[in-house]
Amino acid sequence: MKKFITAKNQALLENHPTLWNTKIVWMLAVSLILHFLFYLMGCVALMNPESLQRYNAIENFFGNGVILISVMVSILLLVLWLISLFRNNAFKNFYPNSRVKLFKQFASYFIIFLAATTFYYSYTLGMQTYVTLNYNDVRMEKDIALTNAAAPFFTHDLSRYELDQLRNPNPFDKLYCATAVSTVDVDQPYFEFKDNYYQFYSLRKQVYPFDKYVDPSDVTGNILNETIDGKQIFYFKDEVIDVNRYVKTSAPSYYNYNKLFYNGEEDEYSSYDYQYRDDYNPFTKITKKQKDFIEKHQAFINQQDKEAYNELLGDFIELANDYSISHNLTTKSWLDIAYTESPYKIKKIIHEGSYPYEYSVSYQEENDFVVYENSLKSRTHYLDSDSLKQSLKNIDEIKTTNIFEGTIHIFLWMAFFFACIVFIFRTTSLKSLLFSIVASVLLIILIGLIAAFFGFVIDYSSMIQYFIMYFTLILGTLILTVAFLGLSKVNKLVGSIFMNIAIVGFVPYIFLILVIIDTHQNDWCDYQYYDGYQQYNTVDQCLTIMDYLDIYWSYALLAAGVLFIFLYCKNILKWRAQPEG
Amino acid sequence: MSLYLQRLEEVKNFFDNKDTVLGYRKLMDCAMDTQDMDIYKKMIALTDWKEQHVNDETGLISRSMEVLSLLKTKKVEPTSAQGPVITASDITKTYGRSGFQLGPVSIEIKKGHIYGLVGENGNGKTTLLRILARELSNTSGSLNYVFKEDITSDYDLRAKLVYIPQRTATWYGSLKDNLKFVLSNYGVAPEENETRVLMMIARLGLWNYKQLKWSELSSGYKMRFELARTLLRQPEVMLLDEPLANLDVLAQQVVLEDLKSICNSVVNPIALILSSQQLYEVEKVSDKVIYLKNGQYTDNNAGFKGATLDQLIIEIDSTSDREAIKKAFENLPIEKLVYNGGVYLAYFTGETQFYRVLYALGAAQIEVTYIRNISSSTRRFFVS
Repeated sequence: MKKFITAKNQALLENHPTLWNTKIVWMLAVSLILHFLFYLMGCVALMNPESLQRYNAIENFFGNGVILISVMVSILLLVLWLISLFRNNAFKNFYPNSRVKLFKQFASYFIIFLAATTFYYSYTLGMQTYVTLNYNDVRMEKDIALTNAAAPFFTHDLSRYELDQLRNPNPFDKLYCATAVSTVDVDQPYFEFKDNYYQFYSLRKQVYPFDKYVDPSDVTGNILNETIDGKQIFYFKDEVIDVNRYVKTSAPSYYNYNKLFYNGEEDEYSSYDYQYRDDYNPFTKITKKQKDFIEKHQAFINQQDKEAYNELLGDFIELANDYSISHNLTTKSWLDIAYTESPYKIKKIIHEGSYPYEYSVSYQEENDFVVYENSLKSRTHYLDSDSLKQSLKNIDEIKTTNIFEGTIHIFLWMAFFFACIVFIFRTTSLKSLLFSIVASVLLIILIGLIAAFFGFVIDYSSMIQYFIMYFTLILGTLILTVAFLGLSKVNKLVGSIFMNIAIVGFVPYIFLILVIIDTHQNDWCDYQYYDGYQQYNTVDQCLTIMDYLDIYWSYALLAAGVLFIFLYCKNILKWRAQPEG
Repeated sequence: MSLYLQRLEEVKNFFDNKDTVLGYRKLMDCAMDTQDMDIYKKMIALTDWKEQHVNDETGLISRSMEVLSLLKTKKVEPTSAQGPVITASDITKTYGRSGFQLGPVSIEIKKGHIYGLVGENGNGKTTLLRILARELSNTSGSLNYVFKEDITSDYDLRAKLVYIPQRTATWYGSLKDNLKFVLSNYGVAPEENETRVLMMIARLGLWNYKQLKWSELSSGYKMRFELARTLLRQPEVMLLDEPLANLDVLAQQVVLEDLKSICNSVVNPIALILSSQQLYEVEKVSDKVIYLKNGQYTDNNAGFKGATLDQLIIEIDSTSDREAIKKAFENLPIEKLVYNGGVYLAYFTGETQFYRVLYALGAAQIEVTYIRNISSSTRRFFVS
C-alpha cells in the first residue's frame, strides 16, 4: 500500500505539480473513505426502530452527537491538509505560473473544503438508504393502511368519538355541528349527552372580491374560509337541520370516529388556509380520502364480525411490535375493549403513552362528561400510538426529503469563504491577511459610525437604509477600482490589502447591488399599490429581482465569485511580480 | 578544437594526474552539457558506485575514463555569444528616512561571467541585488533585461531572475520532492525529472544527503541544496546574496569553484552576481568585482578615493615594529607606510616589483606572518 501511494505521489509530482502540491487527490480519497464510513454510520443509525420514534429523525446527525465527530474529523483532516499544503508554494518561489494554474489551486481548495466538511450528507444518505430499503413503499402502504384501519380502536381520546365527529353518511359531510352550549338553540332539534350539546347546521358561503385581501378575523361569524384561485370564500352557519333519524345514540361511539390516523404529508398541514375554531371545536372540510376511510370504517364495524376484529387487532399488534411501539395489549384484551354491538358505544379508554394510566386529582371543573370519561379510563392498558405516528412520519420524511435543498448553500459558501482565505494566505502572506482582516473590521466600524451619525442627524429609517447601502456601494466600488487598476500605484502591502478585500468582498458587493435593486423595486411596488388603508394587492404581486432569481441567487453569486477569482488571478500574478518600495 | 572538447581534454588531464575530486566534478559538468539522459543515468550510476567505493581511486578513474570516451562521441553545440542579460543605467535608490542613497550604478551583466559584489555592511549590496532582481524598485535610472526567450509578463520576468536571499526559507518534506517540484513546474518531461534531479544532487556533492531532512543539514549543505534547486531552473541569471556566509573556508572554495564551473557551462552559461564579505575568495573566481561604499560604486579596474592603479600596494602582517619595516624598505621607492591597527599597508610607486619588496623584507630578516599584493584587489579599499 505504501509503495502504491509513493508511486502515485511521484507520478502526480512529475505530471501534475499543482495537484501534487494541493494534495487534492489524497484529500478526495481520504474524504471519500470518510464519507463512506459516515454513510455506513447513517445506515446503522436507524436500525433500532425506537430511533424512528424521536421527533425529526432526519436531523439525527445533529441530535445524536455525530455532528461532533464530523466537525472533529473535518478539523483534523483540514489541519493536516494545511500543514501538508504549506510545504511548497510554486507561486511564491516564482516558478512559472499562469492564471489557469493559479485558479486551479483555488478550485482545489474549494473542492477539498467541500469534500472534507459535508459528511452530513453521507450520514443522512445512509439513513435514507436504510429506510428506503427496510421500509419500502409496498410495505409502508400496507402498514399505513393497517394502522389507519386499527386506529379507531386505539380509543385514546373520547372527544374523537363524540357525536360532533360524525361526518358520514350524507348529510353529515356537509353539516356543521355546534357544541357550545351558548350557541345551541334549544327551540330547534339538538342532542345532549352528559352536559354536552350537539346541534347540526347547514352552511352558507360568501365569496369576497377578487382583488382585495380580507383578514378572516375581521369577518364575524365565519366558521371556515378557503382560498381557491385567488378568491377568498367564507362559510357561515345557516339553519338548523334535524338529523334525528340518522343518529342512534348521542353517547360517544366508534361509529362517529372520522380521523385518519396517518395521512402522509397532509396530516400536518391542511390544504385549507385557515381553520376556524368555534369553542375548541375544529371544523374542516372533509376530504375524499377521509370520506373513503370513514365509509370503510363504518362498514367494518357494521359487519360486527368478531373474527375480522380479531385479525385486524392481531395484525396491528404484530406491526406495533415491529416498530417497537410500547404497549401491553393482547389481541384478546384489546378485542374485549374494541368489540361492541350497535350503537358501538365506547366501553373503555386505552391510555396513550408508554405506561398505564395513573389517576391524578383534577383541579378542573368536572362536569358529567368528564366524570363519565374518567370512569372509562383503563388503569391497565396502554398504547404509545403517538410514537407510531412519529415513526411513520419520520419514515416518510426521510424517504422523500431532498437533503441537499437549502443546506447545500451553507456548505458551498463555507467552502468558498475558507478557500478564499487559504488562497489569500498562499498568494500573499499571513501579515497581509491579518492586515486585511483589521482593515475590513475598521471599514465596518466606519460604516456603522457614519450610519449612526446620519441616523442621528436625519431621523428617517428608510433613508438610513438607503444611505448605508449606497455608502457601502461607493466604498466597495473604490476598493474594487484600486484592486483592479491601482495596485501598481500603491505600496505592495497596501495593494495586497485591497486585493484581499476584493477577493472576499466581491460576492458581498454583487449581493449588495442585488439588494439595492430589490429594495428599490419593493419600494416602487409599495408606492404603486398603497391605497391609504395599508391594504395591498395580493394577486398581482410585484416581481423583484430576488423573487425572479429565487434561491438561484445563491448559485448565481457563487458562479460570479468563482468567475471573478478566475479573472482576478491575472492581477494577482501582476501584483506578485511588482517590486517593493 | 571546440570548447566542449577542450573541457573534456582538461578532465582527462585531471584524471591522468590523479586529481580525481576536481576531475570528477568537471566530468559531471561536461556530462550535464550534453543534456543527454542516458549520459545522466551513467553519471548517476557512477556517482552511486563512487560513494560505495570511496577508497577505490583506480576503479573510479577507469570508470570515469569510460564515460569520458562516451562523452567524446556526443556533439555539443556551444551557445553563441550574446549581449548583456541585464543592463542597468544610472540606477539609484534613495531611502527616505535614513537618507541613504545607492548609486547611481551603471552595469552590464553578461552570461558566463561572475560578478562579485563586495563592500562593508550597510553599503547597499543587498539593495543593489534586490533592485537587479526586481525585488525592490529603483528610484531613478533604467533596467533592461534580455533573455533567450521573450519576456511575456512581469511575473515571467521575475521567474527568470533567480534571486537567493541571504536567509533562505526552510524546506519542508522530502528534499528530493522539493527539487522534483521545481522541474515539474518548469514542464520538464516526467521521465526526465528524477534523472535531472539526481544528476544535480550528484553534481553538487549531495548524494549522501538526499535522504536527510532539512533540519538535519548543516548550513553549507542547506546552501548547496538551495543552489541545486536554483540551478535546476536553468537560469540565465542568478543573484546570490551572501551565499558564502556560514560556510567554512573549504566549503566556500568548493561552492565558488562549483558556481564558476557551472556558470561557464558550454550550453547554458549563467550570469552570476554574488555578494560576499570573503574578498579573497570572491576575487579569485570573479570576472569583475563591484565595490560599494556608502552606496557609491566602483570596480576593481577603477581608482577609488586616494588609491590609484599606478601604485603597488602591499598588505603585511608582521611581529616586527614599524621602524624595522620602514628601514627594510629604505632602498625602495615607498610612498607611505600605514598601520591600520591590524596590518601594515605599504604604498610603492607603480614601477616597483613585488619580488623586490619580498627580497627587501627577507634581507632585513623581518618576521612576516602574512603578505599580499592588493594593488588590483578591492581589499585596498577595505583596509585603507
